[in-house]
Amino acid sequence: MNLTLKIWRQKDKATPGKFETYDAKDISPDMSFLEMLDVVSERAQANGQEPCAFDHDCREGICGMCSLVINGVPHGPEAATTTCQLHMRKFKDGDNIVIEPWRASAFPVLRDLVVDRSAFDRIQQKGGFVSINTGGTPDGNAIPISKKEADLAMDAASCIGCGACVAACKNASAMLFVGAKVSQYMHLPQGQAERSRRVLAMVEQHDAEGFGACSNFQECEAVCPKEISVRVIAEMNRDYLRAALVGTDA
Amino acid sequence: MSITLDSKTPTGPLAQQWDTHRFNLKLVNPANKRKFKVIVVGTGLAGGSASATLAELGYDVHTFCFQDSPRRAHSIAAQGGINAAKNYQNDGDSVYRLFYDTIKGGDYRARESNVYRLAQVSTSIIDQCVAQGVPFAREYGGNLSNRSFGGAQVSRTFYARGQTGQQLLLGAYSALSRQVGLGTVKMHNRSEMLDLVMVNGHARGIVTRDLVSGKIETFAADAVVLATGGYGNVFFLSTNAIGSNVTATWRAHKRGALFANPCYTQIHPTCIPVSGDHQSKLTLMSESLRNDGRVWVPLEKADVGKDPRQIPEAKRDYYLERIYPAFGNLVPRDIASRAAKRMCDEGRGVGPGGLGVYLDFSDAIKRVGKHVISERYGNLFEMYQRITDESPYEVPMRIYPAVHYAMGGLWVDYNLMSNLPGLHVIGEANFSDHGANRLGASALMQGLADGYFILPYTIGNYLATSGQKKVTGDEPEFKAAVADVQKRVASLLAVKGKRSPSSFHRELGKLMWDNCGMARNAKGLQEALDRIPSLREEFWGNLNVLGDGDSYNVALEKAGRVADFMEFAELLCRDALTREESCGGHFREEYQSETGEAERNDEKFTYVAAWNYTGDVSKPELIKEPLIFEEVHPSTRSYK
Amino acid sequence: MEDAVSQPSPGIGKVISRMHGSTLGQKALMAVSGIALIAFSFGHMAGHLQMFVGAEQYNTYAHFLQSMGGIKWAIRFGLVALTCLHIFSAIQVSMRNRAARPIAYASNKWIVASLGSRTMRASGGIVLFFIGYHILHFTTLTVGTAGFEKIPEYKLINGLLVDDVYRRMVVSFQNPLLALGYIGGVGLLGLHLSHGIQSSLQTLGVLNSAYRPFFKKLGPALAGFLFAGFAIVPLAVLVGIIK
Repeated sequence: MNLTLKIWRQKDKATPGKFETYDAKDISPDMSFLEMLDVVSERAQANGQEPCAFDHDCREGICGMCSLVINGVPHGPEAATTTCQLHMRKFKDGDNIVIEPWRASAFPVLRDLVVDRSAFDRIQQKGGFVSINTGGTPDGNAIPISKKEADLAMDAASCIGCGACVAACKNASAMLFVGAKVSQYMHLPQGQAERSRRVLAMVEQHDAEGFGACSNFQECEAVCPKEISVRVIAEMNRDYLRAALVGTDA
Repeated sequence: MSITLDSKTPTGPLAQQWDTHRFNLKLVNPANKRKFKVIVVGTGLAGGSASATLAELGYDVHTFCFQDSPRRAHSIAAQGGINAAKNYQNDGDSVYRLFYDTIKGGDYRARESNVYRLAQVSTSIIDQCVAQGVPFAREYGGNLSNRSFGGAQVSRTFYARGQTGQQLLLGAYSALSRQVGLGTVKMHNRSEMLDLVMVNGHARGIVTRDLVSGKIETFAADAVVLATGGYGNVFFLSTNAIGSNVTATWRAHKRGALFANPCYTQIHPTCIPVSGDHQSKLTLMSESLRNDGRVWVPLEKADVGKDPRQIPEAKRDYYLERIYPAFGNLVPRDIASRAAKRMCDEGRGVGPGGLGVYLDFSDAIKRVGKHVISERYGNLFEMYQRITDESPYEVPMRIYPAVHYAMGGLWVDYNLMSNLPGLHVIGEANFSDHGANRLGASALMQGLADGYFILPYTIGNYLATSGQKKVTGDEPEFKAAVADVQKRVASLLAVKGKRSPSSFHRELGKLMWDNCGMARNAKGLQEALDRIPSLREEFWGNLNVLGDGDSYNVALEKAGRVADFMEFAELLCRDALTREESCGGHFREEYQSETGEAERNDEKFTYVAAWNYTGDVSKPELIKEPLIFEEVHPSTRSYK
Repeated sequence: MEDAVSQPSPGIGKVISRMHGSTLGQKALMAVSGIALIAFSFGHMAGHLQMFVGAEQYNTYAHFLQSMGGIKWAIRFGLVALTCLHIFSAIQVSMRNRAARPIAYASNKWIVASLGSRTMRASGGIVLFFIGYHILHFTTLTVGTAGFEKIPEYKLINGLLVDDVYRRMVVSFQNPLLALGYIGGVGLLGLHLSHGIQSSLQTLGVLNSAYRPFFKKLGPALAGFLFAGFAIVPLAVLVGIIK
């Protein structure tokens, strides 16, 4: 199949970028989207153009490194699928495809389609953990955890930190990401000791990074490759209000 | 100037060695710990857990990863689970049994003392991860759930859906994040280690390139820990992440660290086959599929192009069940892989290029119903369909083996320190615990054992006893290493030829897969050894890297990694050629029984092959560490 | 387990700064004020529906409200305050949201967001304008009062002479432009609330997995009910059912 690509190119953080158009000829429908970009880059390189930079690593939908807004939708048209697992058979011969980086003031573009997502790391560093050191922990079966709660925790924990929720949100809000982490620990006995402190600190950092507020559009849930439910946002909201009104001052 | 290897293996009864050893290790005074700076390269299970633990102990930790966040490390992709000798299922498991299974599974090519310690600390790992909030699967009663995995006869595998690696890594990442937040770990993302700095014979720092700005920097420390994973991408196509590379360990090797057993590479039998030349990586389908799927190929070559559903039962060859009636479809990874290759070599492979075999669920669906199969494997079936556009509920899956894990790595002693004082190597990057073949669900166990429970003790002994002066990074050794790196970067940019780094990588990978893949022979290996240097020559004469070194340059990153694979590949082939036996993941066609089973040569090859860089990539020196088995007596693995 | 119980409460200053200064606090204030205003709207709608009973009932009701004195002013003040809080937090949140995405996408797509959610700012703004008109119209009698001067005072059964609010309504809505304008205004209110009701519950964390699907339907249903309740009065006047 033959496609026309409009790809965002940007030299670095400081230089303004622009779209450039590429012809993608003889693309196999069995290629993944990133393999298609590999091929296009390889050909461009042969013509003396620097290859387009995009983040990717595991290419099996779990590391969360790949991104790309494809025709207006983060991770492209297939639901519950990361860009690296999206295949070209989801497109038609002759399609125009617009490829853009995640757009958010908290995710500055570093080059072409690569953005800086270290804001997520900083949110995590504020409270996305249980404050225990290595060693001296009780036996794994010492505290029973109901299967239902463990499953709810696991649903939330499956977040891959890709940032598609931010990219899809019209407010560039990261509430699904923060909510997922808060919810995971909320459903586990190990998370209780720091429950208030965690939610307050993580939300505070979320705001400090310049992410927007949640308008409950639910676009994040729709694009999340791991299908994380906006339930986690409601849970975080509840916990935040409880902590802010009656919780600790930590 | 030959090197004598001292494995520092403790003496005395196996079960007490680790305790005795820990007692004999020198400790660092708690007040002095913050004065010791430790560099950790890599943030997978091993690097992430080690960074966090060292920082908790009070060391000044500097951690590096080439990805945009420490949470991306490829440990995240492990699906199946993590082994631990908890015996929660009351089915007769014990530390000794896990030790025995691992030694046997590794085809008697690992150190007993290391493996026993691994089995011992395995139980603490589960406790640690539960306390961190890792959401392991649970039973209705609230206890941890286990499954049997990879042909083990006991249920000792802990799991979190099909995302165990992810959850364990995020656990380590959360511990690491906590320390970064506390200011005890300085995290350097998007930084690639390009060289090791040796001062006065000790590893004292690294040279890195900031992948965003292109800046070459040095970091000085009191000890260096490499946790940089495996080298499977030397085959170009593997289940590794695209970025996984050998550069850090290879650079350390060129500074004097011995590379051990590079020929031990694990091929995983259940991957989605290659669909075309564009393919950039291979996707693993969990081994658990073999619990219900039946593997077959057409009995006759004439049928390979047919719709599998039209091939009648009598014309199918369920070859694993035929050859290995006792274990059937559940034979270990290496055996299943080689059998698939034999079928394809006979011309009975299916799918593009005849490189695939069927994994058929129709009998299982008939037996237990579609909903049960969907419950067990729904996610995997969806993933398969996303990639191949075929539904495994309707059409048999096609699978083919792919490179998955590297058992070989830098040589380390019982303290996980390489032959270079101060250079510690943990996780997949070292060679230590899996021998010639790794059992399913043991990689996660080893990574976390090294990072949480072993290295943090043993590195203290080095720091307490090394007696080295502080370095600042201004020493001539640092300046020389920076100059080397700058020169190498400049020379990659200066070639200005025609071919992209990827095209060389692809060619190298194909050569390696054809000549040094699932089955190897002297002729093929010799051919590879002849061709790799000339390919390397072409690389340095015809490489095309556009752009400059002072900015984000993906082609330059790739070129540097491919350049190191080009050199490493030769060592891998040489090791494979030298090891004239078949063991674990290393199968030499000359050394097999009449029925095609691997034949070890314990008399000549019960040793670790540790290779020393002599200044010429093509002329490494082989140093042998004999393996002594006092507890377990090597026998022939049989799965018939 | 719960640390909140065992640890000291934060000072009131901290509580205020968190509620006022964080995205979640601002959203919560918007939600709480929104819910209060929704509650008022339902009461208001119930009042209007008395138009169907007749002039006596409606004018009695209106007179009752008018004669509340201090309470009336307290309620009015409360409504203004709630509205200001609602608008203030909306502006605060909107400004933050705009700043969060300085560069727009070249291809911008909505995937699942409802029409109501996408138009909150616009519908809210127009509804505010509409409410302003409504107050100027029926409360202060400043605009749209053509024909009001001819309406005599109404004599209740108990003999009391009161403003004939019933007649004012009928006269107003016999003007098709005003009737349709009001229907449009409450239509936008309905649209605003089709998202607002469920959104405020989500923001306050009331929704869990069990309730969410129900409230996802209940929110728009309540909004539709409110719209119907408000719109039916001008409509009934326009088609001559209420004379």
